[in-house]
Amino acid sequence: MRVVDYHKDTNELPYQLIKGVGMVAGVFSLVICILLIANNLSLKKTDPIHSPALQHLIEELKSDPQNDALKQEIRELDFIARRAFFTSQRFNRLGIFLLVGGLVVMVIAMKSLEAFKTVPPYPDSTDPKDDLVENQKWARKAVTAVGLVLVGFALMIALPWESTLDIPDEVIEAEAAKAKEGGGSEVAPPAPAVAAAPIATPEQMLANWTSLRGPAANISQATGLLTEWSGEAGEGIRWKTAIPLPGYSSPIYWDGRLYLTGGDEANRKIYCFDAESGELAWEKGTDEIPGTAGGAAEVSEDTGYAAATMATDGARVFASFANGDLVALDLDGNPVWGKNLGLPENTYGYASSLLTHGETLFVQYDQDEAGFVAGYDVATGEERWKTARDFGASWSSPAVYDTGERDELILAAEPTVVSYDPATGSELWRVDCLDHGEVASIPAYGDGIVYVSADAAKLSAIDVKTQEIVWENDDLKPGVSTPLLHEGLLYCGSDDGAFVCYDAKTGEEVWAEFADYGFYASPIFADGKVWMLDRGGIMHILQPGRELEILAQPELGEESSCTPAMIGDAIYIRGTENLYRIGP
Amino acid sequence: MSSSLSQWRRRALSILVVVSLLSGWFTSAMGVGEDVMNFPQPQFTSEYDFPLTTVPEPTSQTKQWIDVVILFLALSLASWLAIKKRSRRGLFWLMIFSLVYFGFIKEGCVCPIGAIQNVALGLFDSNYAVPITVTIFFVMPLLFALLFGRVFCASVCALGAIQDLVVWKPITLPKKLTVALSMIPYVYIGTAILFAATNTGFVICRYDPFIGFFRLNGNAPYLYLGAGFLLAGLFIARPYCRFFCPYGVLLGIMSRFSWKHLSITPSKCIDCRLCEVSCPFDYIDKPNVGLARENRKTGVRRLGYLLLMMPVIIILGGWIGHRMSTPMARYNNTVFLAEQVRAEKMNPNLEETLETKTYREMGMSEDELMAKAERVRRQMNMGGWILGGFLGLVFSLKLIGISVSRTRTDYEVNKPTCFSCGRCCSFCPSDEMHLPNFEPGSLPYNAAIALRDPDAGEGKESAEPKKKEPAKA
Repeated sequence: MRVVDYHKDTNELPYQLIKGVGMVAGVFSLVICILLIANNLSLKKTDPIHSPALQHLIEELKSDPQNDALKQEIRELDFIARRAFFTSQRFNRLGIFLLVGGLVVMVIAMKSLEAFKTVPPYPDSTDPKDDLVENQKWARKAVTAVGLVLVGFALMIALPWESTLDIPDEVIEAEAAKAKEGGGSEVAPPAPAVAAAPIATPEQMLANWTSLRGPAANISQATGLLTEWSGEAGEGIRWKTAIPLPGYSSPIYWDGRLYLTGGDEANRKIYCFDAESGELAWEKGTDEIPGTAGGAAEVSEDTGYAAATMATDGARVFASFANGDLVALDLDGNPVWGKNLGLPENTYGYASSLLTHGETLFVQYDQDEAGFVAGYDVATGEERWKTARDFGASWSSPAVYDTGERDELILAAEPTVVSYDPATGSELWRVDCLDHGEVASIPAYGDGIVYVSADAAKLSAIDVKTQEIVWENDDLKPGVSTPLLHEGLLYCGSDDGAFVCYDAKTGEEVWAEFADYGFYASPIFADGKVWMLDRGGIMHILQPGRELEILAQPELGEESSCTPAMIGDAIYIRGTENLYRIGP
Repeated sequence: MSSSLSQWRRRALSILVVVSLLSGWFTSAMGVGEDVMNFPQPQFTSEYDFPLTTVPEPTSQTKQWIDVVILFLALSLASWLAIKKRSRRGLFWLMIFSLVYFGFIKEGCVCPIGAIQNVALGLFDSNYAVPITVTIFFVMPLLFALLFGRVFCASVCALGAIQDLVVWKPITLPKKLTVALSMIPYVYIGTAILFAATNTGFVICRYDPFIGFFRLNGNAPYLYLGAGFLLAGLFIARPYCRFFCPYGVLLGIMSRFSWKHLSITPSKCIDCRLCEVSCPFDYIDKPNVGLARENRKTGVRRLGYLLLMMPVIIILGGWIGHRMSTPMARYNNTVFLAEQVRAEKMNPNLEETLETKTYREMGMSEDELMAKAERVRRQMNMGGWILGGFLGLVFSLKLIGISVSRTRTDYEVNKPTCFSCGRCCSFCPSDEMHLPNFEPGSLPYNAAIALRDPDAGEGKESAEPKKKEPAKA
C-alpha cells in the first residue's frame, strides 16, 4: 500500500524543542551508562568484599583469637571496605534510576516526533492481491516446522536423561561399595609386571633421594659437593633445564633420574629428567591415568597445584596433586594405578608430601572436614588401612621413625602430634602442643625425642616414651621447613629468615643468625656440612657445631622454596622456573 | 526536512541500542543483582545487634477488594470506550492509569496472568486455598472477554501497557512467522499449569520480564530480558503479548465467542482499505472475496488426512510429554533433593550439598522423602501425558484452522487475537466521530458521506483517491 509522503514543518518550534529534548536525553543516558560501567569496573578492581588484606587479618586472628589490637584493625578495615562497597551501590542505584528516566524521556520524544507525520494512508489499486493458497501453504509449513523443532528439542533432552530415582537399590548399593573401596574413584588394575616388581632394599634407598627429605631424614650420603657456584654466571652449574609447569614439589632421585611434578588449573604433570644431561626423559599427564579426576581445587599462589613432593619405592614413583589425584607410575612413566581422594577442603591448597615405607605408601590428607591418614599398597593402590583425623587442614607430611622398639608414623596438625602404627593405622599416642598456627613442618626425630613446630606455635620436644614435653621454645622456630638433628644439635630455618641452632636436649639457643630471605627448604647434613637454602636461592653452607661458622653462601640466581636432593657429588635444586644440577 | 527527520531517527536509535547493549553488558558482567554482591556479615562478635529478619504483612482483605473493584471499573470503562465510544484516546489514558496502578503501585501483583497458577494449584492441591480475590482477578477479564473481547489487553493489563507505550516504528512480520510464533503461548501455559499443579513452581511469575521494572528492583538477567522485550517492542509491537502471554490463550478463546466486540467501522464497511495499515499487530483480516482458492477436492482430502492424523499427533505428543516428565520433575524441590540424596548414597565420596545437609539435619527419613518425590513424579508423569496430548491437539487444530478459510466481504478485526486497542477506529471514515480526520473531497470522505446520504455525496465518480497535499509552511 502506498502511503502519502506527508510531513509537518519540522522547523516549527515544538518539533525542534522535542527533538532537542530527545537528543539531550539520549546523550544523558549514554553518559550515565558509561559512568555506571566505570563505577562497576572500579568496584570490581578494588573488590572490597574479598579484600586480601582483610582476609589475611582474619586468618591471623584465627591463630591468635585474643588479640584485641588485631580485632580493632579488622573492624577498621572492614568499615572502610563496607563504606566503599555501599557508596558504590548507592551510586549504582541512583544511576539506574537516572538511566531509566533518560531512556523514558528519549522514547517519549521519539514517539512524539513520529506523531508529527501520522496521517491516514491512501491505498491505490496497484497493491498486490493476497495469495490465499500460497499463504495457507506457508502457514502449514511454519506450524509443522515449529512442531518438529519442539519434538526434536524435547526428545534431545528427554531420551538421554537419567534420574538417580530410577536406579534400582541394588545398583546403588553396589556402586556405593565400589566407590568406598576405591576411596573416591575407580582404581585401575595394576600393570602385572610393575605390580610384581620388588621394592628396593634399604641400602638402595639410602643411595637415592626417595622423598622430600631423602631416605634418612635430612641426612645425605653425598660427598665431594661444590661449595661455590653462581647460577647467574653458570659457574659450577652442570646443567639447568626449564620446568614446563610451575610447582613447589621438590625433586626426588632414583637411579640416574630425577622426578618432580608441575601443574596449573588445567594440567597436572609428572616430569622425569635425566640426571646426567638434564634432558626431559618423559612427562605424564594425570588425565590419561585411569581413575584420576580432573578439575582443580582452589589454591593460593604460594602453594600452587603441585606442592606435594613425590616419593618412590624404587619400582614405582608416586605423585599427588591439589585436586586429590594420587597416581603411581612405573619408572618409565607407564600408569600403574591411580585414584582420586576427593577434592580436599584446604584454605591454601593440599600440599602434604608422600612417603613410602616398605610396601606401604602413606598419605596424610588433613582437611577442614573428614581428614584422614591412609596406607596404600604400593603395587596395587589398594587401601591397607585408613584412619580418620579430626583436625583441620594442615600442610605437613608423614614421617616414619624407628623409635627403638617399633616403627612409628608421626603426623602433625593443629593442635596435636599423633603417632600411628604404620602397619595398621591404629593410634599409639598423641600430644597437644601445636595450639595455634598453620602446621607445615614435618616432625623430626632423634634419640627418643620428637621435635615439632609451627609458625605460630612453640617448637616442642616430646619424649616418645612418656609423651612428656621435654622442652619448648617460642623464640625462633621453623614454620614450613623441618629441623635437622645432628649430633645433639637442632638446626632450624624460620619463615622470616632466621637460621638458628638449639641444644636438642635442653632447647637452649646455641647460636642464631639472620638471612635476607625466609626458609621453606629443610636443612640437610651432607659432606660434613649443614646446607640451608633460603627462598632467595642463597645456600648457607655451615660448619656444624656450637660455634656459627658460615663456610660459603653461593647463589642460585633464582628463587627457590624446594628442598634440594643431594646424591653422589651433585646437588639438585628446583628454582621457580628451572631445575639445576650443581657439581661436576 | 525529511532527511532531517530520518537523521534524527538514526541518531536516536543508535544511542538507544548502544545504551541498551552497554547496560546489559555491565549488569551481566558485574553480576548486579546476583548474590555474589551481597556483603557478608562481620565474622566475629561485636556489640552490634543484627536486625531480625522480618516478613512483610500480607495485603489486607480490604485492599484486595479495592483492587477487585478497580479492576471491575477499569474493565467496564475499557469496554465502554472500545465498543461504544470507539476512542483510542480514552483507551490510551486508561492504559496509562492501569500501568501506574496495577504496574507501579501494586508492583504487578496480583495479576490475572500469574493467577492462572494459583487457580491451577488450588484445583490440584487440596491443601492450597486460592483467595477469592485472586480467583476473581483470574475470572473477571475472561468474562469481559466473553462479553466484549480482549478489553483487558486494550488498557487494563500493565504488561501490555508498558509494551504499548514503546511501540514506535512497528513492522509487519511475515504471516508464516507470526503463525509459527503463536504456538509458543500454548506451550508456555501448558507448562506453567503443570508446574503449578505439581507445586513445582510458578514459572510465569519467575520469568515475568517486566516485574523488575514495576518493582524498580530485580535480578539482572530478568531486567535484561525485559529491556530486550521493550527494545524489540519499538519495532515488533507488544511482542510478549503476541508471542508469549499464557493468559492470552484463554482470553483468545473467550474473545472468539464474544457477544460484542470492537469493530473497525460502526456502520457499513466501504472497503476503502484505509484501516489496512492501522493495526501494528496485523490483527485485521482482509476481505477475501474473489481471491483464487484451492481446489475444493484437494482441500477436503487434506482436511480428512488432518482429522485422521489428529489422534496420532495427540498420542505422540502425550508420549513425548511423558518422556519429558522426568527432566521436568527435577525442577521440583522434593524430587531434586531426593535425586541428590540418592546420588550421594551411590557415591559416598560426593560432597554434601547445602540441601542434603539441611535435609539430614531435619531428621526426615529417606523413605519418607522418596515417597514424596515419587508422588510428585507420578503427578508429573500424568501431567506430562496431558500436556503433550494438549499440545498435539493444539497443533492439529491449528493445521486444520489454517486449511479452512471463511469467506469475508469486509475488513474485520480478528476476534481471538485483537487487543481492542482502538487504533483502527480512527482510520475509518465511516465513523462519524473520526470523519474530521479526513480531508473533505477526498475519496474516503466522499464515499463515507455517500454511504450515509446518497444524495449529498460528491464523490460518486470512481477515481483514484487524491493525494493529500503537504500542509502549508
